[in-house]
Amino acid sequence: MATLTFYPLGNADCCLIKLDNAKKMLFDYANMRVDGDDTDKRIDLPAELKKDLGKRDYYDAVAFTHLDDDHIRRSSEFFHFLHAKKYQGEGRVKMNEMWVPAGAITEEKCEDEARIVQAEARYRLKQKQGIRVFSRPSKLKSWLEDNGMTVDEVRHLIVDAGQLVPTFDIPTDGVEFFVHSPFAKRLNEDETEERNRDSIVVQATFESSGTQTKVILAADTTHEAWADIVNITKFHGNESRLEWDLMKLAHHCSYLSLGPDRSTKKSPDKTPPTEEVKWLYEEQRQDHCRIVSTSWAIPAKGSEDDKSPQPPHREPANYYKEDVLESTELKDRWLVTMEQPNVASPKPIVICIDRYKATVEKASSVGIAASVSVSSPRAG
Amino acid sequence: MDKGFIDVDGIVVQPTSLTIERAKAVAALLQKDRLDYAKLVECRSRAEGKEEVLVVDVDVQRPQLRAHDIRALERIAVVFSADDARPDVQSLRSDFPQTPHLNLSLTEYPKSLCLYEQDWNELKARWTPSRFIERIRFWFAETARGSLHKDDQPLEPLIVSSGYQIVVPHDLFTAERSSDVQQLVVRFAGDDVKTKLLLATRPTGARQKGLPYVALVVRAEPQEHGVIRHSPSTLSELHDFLAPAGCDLLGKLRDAAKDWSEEPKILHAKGEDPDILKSRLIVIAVCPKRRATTTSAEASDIWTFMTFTSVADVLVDIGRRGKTGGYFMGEPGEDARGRNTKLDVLRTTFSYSRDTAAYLNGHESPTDLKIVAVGLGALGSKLQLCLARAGFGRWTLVDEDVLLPHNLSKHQYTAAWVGHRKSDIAAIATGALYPHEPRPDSIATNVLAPGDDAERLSKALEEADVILDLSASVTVARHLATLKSSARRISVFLNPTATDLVLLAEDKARTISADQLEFQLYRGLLTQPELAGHLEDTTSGRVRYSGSCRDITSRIPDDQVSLLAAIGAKAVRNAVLDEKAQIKAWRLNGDTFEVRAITVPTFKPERLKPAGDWSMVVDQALISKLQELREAKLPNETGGVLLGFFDQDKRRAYVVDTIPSPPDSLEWPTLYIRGSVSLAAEVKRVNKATAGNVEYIGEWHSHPRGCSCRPSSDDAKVFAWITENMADEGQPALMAIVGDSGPCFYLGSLSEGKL
Repeated sequence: MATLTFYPLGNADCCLIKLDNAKKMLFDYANMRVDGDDTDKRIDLPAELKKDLGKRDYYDAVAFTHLDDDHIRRSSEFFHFLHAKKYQGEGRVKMNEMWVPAGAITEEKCEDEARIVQAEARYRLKQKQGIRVFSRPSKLKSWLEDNGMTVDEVRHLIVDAGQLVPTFDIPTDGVEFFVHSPFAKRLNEDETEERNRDSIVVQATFESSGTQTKVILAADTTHEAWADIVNITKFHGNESRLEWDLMKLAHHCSYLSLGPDRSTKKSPDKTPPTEEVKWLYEEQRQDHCRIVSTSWAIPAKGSEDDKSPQPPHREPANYYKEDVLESTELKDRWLVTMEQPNVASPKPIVICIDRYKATVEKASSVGIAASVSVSSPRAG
Repeated sequence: MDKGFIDVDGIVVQPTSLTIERAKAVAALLQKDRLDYAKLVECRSRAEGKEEVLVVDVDVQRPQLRAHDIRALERIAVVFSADDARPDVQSLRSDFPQTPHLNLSLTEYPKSLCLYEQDWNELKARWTPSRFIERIRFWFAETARGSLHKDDQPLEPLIVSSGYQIVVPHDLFTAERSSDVQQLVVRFAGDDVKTKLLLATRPTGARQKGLPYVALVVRAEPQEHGVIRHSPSTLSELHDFLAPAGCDLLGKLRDAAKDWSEEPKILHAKGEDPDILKSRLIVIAVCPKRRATTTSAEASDIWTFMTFTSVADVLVDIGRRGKTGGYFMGEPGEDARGRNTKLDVLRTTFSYSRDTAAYLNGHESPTDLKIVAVGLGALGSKLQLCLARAGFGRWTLVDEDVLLPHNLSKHQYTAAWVGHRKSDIAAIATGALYPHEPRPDSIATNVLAPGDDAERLSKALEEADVILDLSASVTVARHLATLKSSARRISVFLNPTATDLVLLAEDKARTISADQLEFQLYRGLLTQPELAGHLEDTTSGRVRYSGSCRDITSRIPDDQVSLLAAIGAKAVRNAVLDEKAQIKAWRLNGDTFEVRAITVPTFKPERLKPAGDWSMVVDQALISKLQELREAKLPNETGGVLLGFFDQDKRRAYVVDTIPSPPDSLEWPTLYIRGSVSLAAEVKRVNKATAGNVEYIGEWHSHPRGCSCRPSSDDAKVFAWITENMADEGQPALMAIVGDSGPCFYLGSLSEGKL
């Protein structure tokens, strides 16, 4: 049985994928919790991940969907980076393979954490191992040339949209990853690189006893990027690659991932989706599908948070709940990381995937189970 | 209460006002608000405080693909009673699906969940409020996946039942659907009617009078959901359940009634039981289930209902008989639909079958190999029944002996069987396990002198897949090993002190025969220290008759025999399922009760030409040993004595081992004179360790490098000397010469006997 774990990190992403064959990978890593703040309900991510890793000190793969802070924060404290000694040492977690979008290599003037992650990605690409870069090879051409390399030398490390990531396959791993983004189109048109539009978006297809479960892991995809993805996927006749049983919402339930307008006069409490996004959500959803929003709790109408421009937004949430999930059995279908199992005490959302497709784990943790899952208080 | 949920009776009370301990404890836990997935909705009290009800919302862990319509949130009522009966957990959904593992109640809703398989009194020790809540959540989660209930598990326990149980034929599901309605004969299973255990069997044809019950089996068409949604209280209700599943119960009863409704004297004249009208009617409904996507049945529910009134009364109630008698033809009226015939639900179990036997013993399926078991003494009777009751083997049982009182100390069967042939007893007991199948054959004869049974016996042996020797007799074992049959031979026996159990199993292709394995075992006794003392008899005052090293003395405990018999049964099973030959021993430590398994290596015999009417058995283990001894002494010659056995009866020489050159031997490059220091004592030791089965049988010596194994003129003199000595014993002479290309064996004469 494979599992996906989404951590309560506020508006930030980290998804741990564990496969039947004991392989483990992360999609993004963002340690958002304020150290020492007992009122911060966001999870202590490094502690939680290490509890899961046990004696193991590596992930088979770690994907950084893009270099925004809420997808990489404090990575340089957690991971063992090859490019500099100061990011190495006891207790750091190795990445057998690092996945980054091409932008993470080519982007200029990165700052802070993004600069460190970029340095690691560049180092690995120069070493020609331990990395996969997501985009068309030609996009990297000039950077490679500047660094005295050719495209042919690193072609095997580059995964283009419309391909499967060669690292995993269904016969060996029970899962395959189909890449939807980034693709070359935007980069050709725009002079500047825009992280949210050029982030990694994949469809993971899990297979267990002949049953397939499809999971779309959207990064911070905007409605424009969705439109591109939908159109190009349809153009190639790959519609099934946008089917989904489980959707990790883009951009922490921001309305901008649905459409240009947060709400309209006609639809004051619900974001109207663009045509392409509507197709993605309403035509491509599978029976009894589920949605995960990696975000703070959805604000109540009229609250301070509701007025904020920052996600999560109530209006797109209403669209997902009412039009996509059809207001049916939302209790285990509409899953907001900071709301599960309750707002007072959020815990990681664990989704098991097997021949029954996705099951949201609801393991009770009281009594003995509660005692043995944590350290005891200090005894005198 | 919220819309859409079933109303709960009783007055709403505060959790603090609850008086029943378990209700208080569960309410207290839920109120602490430490459970993420269960919330207390309200508490109610009813029946003057004798019942308290907690209404609880539970979150269910359910998969995307669900076998049953279980919701993310399920509302339940938990009914606690003041007498501390098992708490009843009811779904308050008015559309709760008909899932497996629901208790059968008198009404369809609320559905009552069957949470536990164990008895409530046994559960109490482990019962805590949080485990109870988790068990409820587990029930929903597993039901959502459709994995709570295995198809072969017994059906849901019955809340509403007078406690009667009925055993029905195990193949009721699968048996040919020759007729739509089957009539079964029902009697009490034992003499004690208070057991309320009924036994339904197919009629044998013989007339059976005055039986208390008659059963009709009716069959519904395969349905996606359970047919019986709550306990029907009348025949009419049962008919209404079955009708949508294509089973016209009343119609079938009326058809059957044609045979019963006549006057007793007519029934009598027709050979029917006139008392049938006084019997009570039992209806067995077979309800096959299918999954939504398929049309074929995957499993079946079986339900049994008993009327409280006689067949005659039932016939009146369905319009086939007048109150004062007589058969009614024609269309029965609307009032004759069985509404007055009350029903009781019976717990239904199946008769024992080979499939069940294998399953309950943890095996995939029964084994249908034809096995002839010879010898049903203490070890044999236990071992054979152990295999048979697991559905292993189709048996023919052979033993001439009669069960005598002193056998009771260790025999499987008890005093009631004294005076019967052991083979008959085992056949009857094995047959009784599976009454629906032909009883095993019993051949009460001595395999060495079968007399009138010779033909039956040899036919059984020839047709067998396995001949299982449990005879405790070397003679019988060798006889069975060498007689004509393609069956695989397996021999199991105890040593004289019953501390060791031995299994000799031929390989499936029979390249190593059981008699050869026997002698390889003896070699193991001589060479493997862990087998030391195997055949030495340490018990005192034991009477032993010649040639039998295996017969058990009279003074060994049954616990030892039972323990080793159980191991033997498992070993036989494993040996049959494995194609290779095996020699295995299990040695019991009498102090710690530990059992040690010991393997003796097996070797394929070399193919050697017969010498006159003698054949010879030699294997690579011996050949290698002789060659190694020669190599070690080159350029000198060396030699020693050969150990083994001349079976005069079968004219077969088994060469097992050697005692190497004694220290006073002369070993020169062209000369060998075998010395004799300690030789006699060593031969005696070998003899004792093998209970006389391995003895001195001849001499061997080596030739120098570059020489063949052809005898020299000196060798001829040695052979003459051997011949002279062995002739006094009535045995043939045996000499082996080991040259560059291995040993040559000369048996009887140097010219003809060269092997």
